Amino acid sequence: MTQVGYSKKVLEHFKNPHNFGVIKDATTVGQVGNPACGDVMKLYLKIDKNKQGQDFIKDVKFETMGCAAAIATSSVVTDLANGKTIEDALKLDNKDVIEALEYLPNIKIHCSLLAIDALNEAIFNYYQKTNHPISETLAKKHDRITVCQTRLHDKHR
Amino acid sequence: MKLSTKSRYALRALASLIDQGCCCSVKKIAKDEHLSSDYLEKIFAKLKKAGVLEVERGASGGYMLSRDPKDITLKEVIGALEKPEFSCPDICTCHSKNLYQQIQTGFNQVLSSITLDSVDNSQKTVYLDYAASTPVDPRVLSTLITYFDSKYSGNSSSLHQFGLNAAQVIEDSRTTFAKILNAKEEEIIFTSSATESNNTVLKGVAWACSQKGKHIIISSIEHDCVRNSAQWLKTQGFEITQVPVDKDGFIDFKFLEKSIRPDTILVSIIHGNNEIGTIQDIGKIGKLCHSRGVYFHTDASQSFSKVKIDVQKNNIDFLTISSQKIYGPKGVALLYIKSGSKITPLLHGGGHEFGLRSSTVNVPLIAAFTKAAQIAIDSMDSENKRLTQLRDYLIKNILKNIPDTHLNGPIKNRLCNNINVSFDKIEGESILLDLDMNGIICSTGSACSSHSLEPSHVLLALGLKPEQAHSSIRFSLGRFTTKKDLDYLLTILPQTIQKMRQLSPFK
Repeated sequence: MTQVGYSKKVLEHFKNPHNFGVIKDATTVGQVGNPACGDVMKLYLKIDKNKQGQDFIKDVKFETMGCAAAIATSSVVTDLANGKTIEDALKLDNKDVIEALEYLPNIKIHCSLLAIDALNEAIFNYYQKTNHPISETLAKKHDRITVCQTRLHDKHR
Repeated sequence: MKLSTKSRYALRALASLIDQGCCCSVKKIAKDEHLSSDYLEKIFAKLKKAGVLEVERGASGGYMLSRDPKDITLKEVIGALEKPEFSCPDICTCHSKNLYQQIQTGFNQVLSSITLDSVDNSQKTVYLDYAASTPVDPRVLSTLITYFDSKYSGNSSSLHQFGLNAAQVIEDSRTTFAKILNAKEEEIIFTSSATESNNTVLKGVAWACSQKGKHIIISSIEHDCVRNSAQWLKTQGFEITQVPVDKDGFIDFKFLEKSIRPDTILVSIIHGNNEIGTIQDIGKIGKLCHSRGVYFHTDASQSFSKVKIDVQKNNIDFLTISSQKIYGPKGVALLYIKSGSKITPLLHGGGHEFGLRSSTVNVPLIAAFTKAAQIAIDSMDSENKRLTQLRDYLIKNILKNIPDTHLNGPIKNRLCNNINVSFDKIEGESILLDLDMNGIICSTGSACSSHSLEPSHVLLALGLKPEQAHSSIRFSLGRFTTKKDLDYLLTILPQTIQKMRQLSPFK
């Protein structure tokens, strides 16, 4: 049976988004999307060392301009990433986001990708800033996100 | 235990009185709520005695609440009319005596804790999406049901009495519309939707007139059914010119004049725009088209019964009207085709509707559509005046109370029920959903755009940036909209906008 509209979870997150706002002394920030397309996500990460000496996400906050799905996926990605080591956070993908939201309408799947992109971008920026080696996969993701945003920008100019 | 009829009527009438927002005569409430005026007068007299109502004398007088609805309890109202009692018939001997007393106390407490305010505001829904579709008017619904009767169930092409009954209904409907539009009966055909009517015109004229030429002119703010029909005709070797519009959505008339060529066969320009409400000067466009020997079609789905249309005076060759925009049922529409016009039908078959639209004719839908049109035309002047006032009230207050907000579309020559606004730095769908959660129903640009992520082509045509187009909301008012509805929207909307702006990374 085809479900019409958003899932309960999406509506819950939309109504009461988790972790929204700004981290003033954020370690790193990732911003993706384009106002011309109607979706922009900005993810703030506070990164610290855990007891094992690994980098982990101590705090995460988001700001999003976009549809209900964009707000809900942002909210969920902050929940998923919060407390994870950077390495584990990089393993998250958009299927995890969709699963946490029960489902997303097909036309809104891109919002789940955008949320994961924002997380990856924030981590990419952190690695670059700290001269941490960047894996080929992450570098590729970063390139794809950049190309994507430029293309969208050109399309709507 | 059941509430007495008296109490139920009293609550219904009080809710209606609150809805009016001022003092009101018994007669008006009785009429609105379909109650007996004499009966209601007796009830109101008792409520007055109990101090729930007051009387205002004078010409504009009537009954009004003595206090704020949130200060009047159900116990006062019901207590003025009846004594709800829980008691055991054998009160002296019964072992459950205490139990009944407890129920009575609890019941009184409950009635005292509910105020008229909550009667009024429970499950409030404010529908402000009349441009997407209107609810069926109860009077239209009764017509619809009448014509589902078996005596009209024949095929209108059949010669027996059931067929003739059906055929007569259709012919009467044609007469009604012909009178309204100043057309001839044989110029009115019924279709299944405005989309079908518009497709019929674009494709039908293209097929019938391709000998003369293959050039068609539309505007840049047409509804998708005209736009996409034109787009498809492009793949069939036709050339399409789009006339641009100014910042308010009015077509560039000089551009249109220059665009008409010897091989132009049709100009199709929407009368009242569905997204931004711009009303084009169809008289002027029709005159131009006829002076240049080109057919003129206008989609009047939104404008019918809001703007007077005379097909002869306005030089219209083809005109589309939809039932579901004027409180009629979905699934029926009309196409006016000026007699002698060259057009090929989309549907070939038994030759119904003068051979222009084969399909067994849907009697109940057409009868109901006609009833809806008649009601809309009869109340056109007063209703348009009322809606214009409400529209301007809403526009003024949105722009005044919410910063960084812009009206899209014109101030003058705008459909009396259309409001389209952009809220900077946020996205329309999230506004729509948040309002929906608060019981307010509206739309982002055009309802059809929920199938696509692209910003509205109409708003882009006005020169808006894509991000401004994404941040637009359309409120469309209608027959059942009250000032109170708009006041409710005006209390919720600023909160919604503020919430979304807080979430946005752009400040």
